Amino acid sequence: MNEAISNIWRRPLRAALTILGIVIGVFALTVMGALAEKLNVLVDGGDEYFRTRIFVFDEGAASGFQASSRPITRDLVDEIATLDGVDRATPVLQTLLDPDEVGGFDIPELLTGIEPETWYDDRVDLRMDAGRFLEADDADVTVIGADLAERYDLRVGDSFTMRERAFEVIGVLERTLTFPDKIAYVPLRDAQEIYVESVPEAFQERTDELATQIEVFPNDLDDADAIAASIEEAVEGVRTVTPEQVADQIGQASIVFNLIIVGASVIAVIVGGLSVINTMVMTVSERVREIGIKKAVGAPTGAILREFVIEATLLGAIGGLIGLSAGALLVVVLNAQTAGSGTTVFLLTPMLLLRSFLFATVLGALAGIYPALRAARLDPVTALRST
Amino acid sequence: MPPILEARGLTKVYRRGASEVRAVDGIDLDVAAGEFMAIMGRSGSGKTTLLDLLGCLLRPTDGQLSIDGRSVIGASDGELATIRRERIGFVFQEFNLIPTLTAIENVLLPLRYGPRRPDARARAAELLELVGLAERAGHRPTELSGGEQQRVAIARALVNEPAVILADEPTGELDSATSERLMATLRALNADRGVTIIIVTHDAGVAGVTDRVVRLTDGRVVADERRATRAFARALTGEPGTNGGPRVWARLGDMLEKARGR
Repeated sequence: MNEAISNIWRRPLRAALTILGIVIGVFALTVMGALAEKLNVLVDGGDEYFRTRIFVFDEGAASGFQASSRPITRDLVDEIATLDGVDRATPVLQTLLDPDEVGGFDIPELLTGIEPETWYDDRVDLRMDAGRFLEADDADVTVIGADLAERYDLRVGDSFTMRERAFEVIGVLERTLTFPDKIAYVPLRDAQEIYVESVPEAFQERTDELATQIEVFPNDLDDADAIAASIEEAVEGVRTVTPEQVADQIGQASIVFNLIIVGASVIAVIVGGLSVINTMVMTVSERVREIGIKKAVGAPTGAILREFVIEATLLGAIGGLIGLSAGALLVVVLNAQTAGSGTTVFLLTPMLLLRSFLFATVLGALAGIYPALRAARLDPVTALRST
Repeated sequence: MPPILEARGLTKVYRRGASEVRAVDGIDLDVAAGEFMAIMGRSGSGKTTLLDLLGCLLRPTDGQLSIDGRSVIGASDGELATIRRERIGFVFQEFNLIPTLTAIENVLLPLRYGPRRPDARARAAELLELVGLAERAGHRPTELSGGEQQRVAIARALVNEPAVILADEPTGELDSATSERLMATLRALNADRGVTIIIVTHDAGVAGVTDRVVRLTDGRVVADERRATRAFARALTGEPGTNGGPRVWARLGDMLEKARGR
């Protein structure tokens, strides 16, 4: 081990360049990994949050969970609630908290109107950090997600103005790392009054019937597909999104995010691995005579192999440590800069750091095997008499 | 007592395209424990190849070779490495120390590949003292003179208490004064400690220090002289190292040699 360290020091510039190759790779891996880590948490959390129920939209509504859909009316709710296998159906009005703020990379901030008595139960996995959740007959009050509380510096009892209307914060949710962190839950009635001003006049007379979606809780989640089919059959002009479909969409997003990590890993393997292989091949050819000496004094093949693999592994480990430190530093700095706006783009986990380090170490070891094998297989006489 | 080295019909053939070179061509050789001998010959006579064969660095094309009464023919690479580590000590013309290691670390190198020995460092220090380098233990090869480097190499060759030390032109890169001191060291090791030493050289002065000289030409032994014989020859002819002189005296030398029980 000591010899490996001093051997690396024999060619400081070359060692530095080799290590730099690994540093770049691991740096990319750490930063991309932190990005993907964050996205995966969003996605997994979204999965848990949405997979409890069927969403029913007006057929003309835009897809997904966007709040720009055309209003659908109240009478549908009762009709759907009576269908077989349906535990309960509840109207939800979801709209942008600030219509002028166009959602960028992150989840947009949402204003979600619900009927607490039909929407909230233990299947909706929301835990309170402070205060209480909405109850029937509440008005002009709101329960906000952790990101909103942080961004607008709100506590229970504070007043929060949304869409030019003041609400009293009565509860703050525990952080979920996904959608609810950026949602302000308000009583449906309040949401309707806000929403009515942004819809065509034809709908304005029926304020109390406004909703953007109906959320249907099945008795048994396994029957969700069948129930969704029967809803589409029984009710004209609606479209359903089942937990299964949500899972599919989320799964696809996960694939994309994981591809980012795979891509970064491939870059790291190519840049770091090749630089280690190149350096070690050069090192072996420089030390042919030394290898011959060691063989002459009785070093077995395995010992020579081990010496060079250790040296390559050490290059990988040093590069890995520097690379992940640099990556972590960048991530922390960027997160600190964007934290003020309530959004962080990266998530650094101990697991990710450990993975990056192990990745670099194993990469160094693997890249060292071929040059080490060349060294170990040298014929002692040829090696000894080489100049 | 069986010889430490016993070669019978030892042959090494190199193929160069269609032609073949018999670098070592059917050599018979016995080396007894405690001998101090030289192998002489012109370059290309096969002396270095013979040394490589005796040192188990090379496998012979044909013939038998035993070390300490055990045949090494058919041994695997790993077994040959073990034999080199435990039974053979090498000293090379170019010293061949590892440049990143200190003198004492170089001496310890062969021990690194064998079973752990608690007395390793003490033994290495003792050997450095034996070759007169106790104060230079922490120096790297670049900080040592050629003669000092070769002494480190000798200490390294001794560290595993080998059956035989094989030295390939050990004075080849040293000036004559340093050369003489080095040979005196080897001579003393042989005389005081009974270390068996085989030196490959083309330097008659070096060979003159030894007790026995084997001469090679074209891979064959053409002469095998022992000190007493040579001393007689020199004394009687007045010419050092010649084969002339009355044959009777040479035969008398042989008889004396046998009488001494060699």
